Amino acid sequence: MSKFLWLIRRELWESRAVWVAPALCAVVIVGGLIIASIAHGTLTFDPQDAADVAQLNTMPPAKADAVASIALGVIALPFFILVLFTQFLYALDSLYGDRRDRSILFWKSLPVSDTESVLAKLTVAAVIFPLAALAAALMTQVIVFGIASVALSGMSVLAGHFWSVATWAGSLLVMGYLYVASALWYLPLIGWALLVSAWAPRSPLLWAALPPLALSLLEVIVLRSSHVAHAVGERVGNASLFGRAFGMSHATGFTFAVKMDKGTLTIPRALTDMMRPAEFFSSPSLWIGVLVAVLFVAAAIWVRRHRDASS
Amino acid sequence: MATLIDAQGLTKSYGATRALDGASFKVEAGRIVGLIGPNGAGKTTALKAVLGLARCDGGTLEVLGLDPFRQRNKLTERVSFIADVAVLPRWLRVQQAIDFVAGVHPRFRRERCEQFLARTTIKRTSRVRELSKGMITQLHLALVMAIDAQLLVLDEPTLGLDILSRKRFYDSLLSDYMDAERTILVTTHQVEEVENILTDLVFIDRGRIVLDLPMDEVATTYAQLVVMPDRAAAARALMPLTERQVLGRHVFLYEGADPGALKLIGEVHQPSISDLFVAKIQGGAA
Repeated sequence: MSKFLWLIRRELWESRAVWVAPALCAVVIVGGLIIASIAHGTLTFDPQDAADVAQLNTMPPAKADAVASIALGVIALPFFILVLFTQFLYALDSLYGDRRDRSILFWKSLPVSDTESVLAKLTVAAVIFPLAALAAALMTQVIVFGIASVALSGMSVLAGHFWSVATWAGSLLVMGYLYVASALWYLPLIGWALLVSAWAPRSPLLWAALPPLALSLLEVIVLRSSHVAHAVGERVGNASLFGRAFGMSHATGFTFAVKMDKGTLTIPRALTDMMRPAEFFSSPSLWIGVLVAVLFVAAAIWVRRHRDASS
Repeated sequence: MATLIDAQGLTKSYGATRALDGASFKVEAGRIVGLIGPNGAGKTTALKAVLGLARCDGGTLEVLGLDPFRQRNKLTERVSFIADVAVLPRWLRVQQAIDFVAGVHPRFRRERCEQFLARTTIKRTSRVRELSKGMITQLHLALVMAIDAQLLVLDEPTLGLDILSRKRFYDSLLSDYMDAERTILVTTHQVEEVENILTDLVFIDRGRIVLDLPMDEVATTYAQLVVMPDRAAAARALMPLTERQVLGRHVFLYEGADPGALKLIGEVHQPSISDLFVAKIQGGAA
């Protein structure tokens, strides 16, 4: 096994959040579904919703497939949101943790360069965390659909559409695309977290939030403009990622939600049709972000190398 | 004999504090060198410079022919260190520690590490946080002794350990690790413990080297003289470094004095390192 793989393993020994967080999320979703169904008697629809059931049974196949793929997306979404927090918090603590317990003196006594250490932590944050979340999301989708197929068998045409290969392939494609897109989009945030983690004398979370806040405030007061706040908000906000990666404007997102509330289940377009990889991967702001991330990571390596290890 | 460490005129300041103020010393292969000084004398700063963890402001430093700060990545395979007690991460399991070091260190010999650990009561499945401070030190020593390094640097490796753990630490180091191929640089202020294992003695005080001597020359260079009060004036005439009174008798420490002349006045002894330490460090302060 190569040295780099050992460095990754060492991170996984230390940070069990990589798999504990998505596993907990899966348990909550599946457990919640089971408890809800027990409380409800069965997993079937309430007789009062007979109209809904009738509507479901007369649903055209294309719409049923769309409902199944929306359901898959709804299950996958919490994992996606969760990993954004866990990977950031992991990156924020990774280099600081070594300094806090002084174990950096042990790690630095081994033939592992600071570049290798920091890149291993970056890889865990940007690749391993999303992979673990994706795997957990997929497993949860299978379990939930399995339970639903059993519960709905013979009652709804919908159950017949649960295991369509095309639906699952489409869902996987959307998830994979979203995770790759978000890994690149949020890379500067992870780079920033690593830099703060390498440098902060204490409470890295505070140090991560303070400079952007202070800069934004300073700009508002001195220049009466808000470019910094806008740039940070644009980068942090989920909407900007979804908007770019899926060609969704705030408007389409809104009508979609409203129509769902009315129970009409009008699905505007399949998510796979909404993917905008060409536009997304050629967007300058994506690559400016990646460049900024590279600078942050290089700075983190420099700080880890030059910062007095024992303080 | 190869010179492993060659430090010339090292200086390093932290703000207004001069941690190193022109320190020069050499460490030859096959020696066990004790770098001894009071708190804040610059011991740790000197070791950090040797290990490439910090850069000096001035002077030249070569370790194994390399610049330790700029060529640190080349150095880490050949130099190992224990830079304080209990710096092993608390979440790490004993087995993981062995696997990890074996995975990243090309000079680590797993069988040797297993042999050392077999003599202890440390369990493979334990996490570091479950071990006593003495056991953590044993584990760290087992990991480090299994590395075939040219230079081993120990910075206060037994601080805060009980006397049994301290003795065991130095016993294993001497019997299981040290041979003609290896070199150890150790700092401590518990001088009594290293007295019998050192081959060379280096005293550092306020960033300067105030003594640098092989142990076998300590006896020929320094002498301790114990006299009754009526001979004290005669003893003072021979220019002692220090004088103190113990149980009504006067104790003098001499550097480069003629042993024959001393024997005429009173009892002559070989001074202990702590006597020498007190004389050299206080002598400089007076």
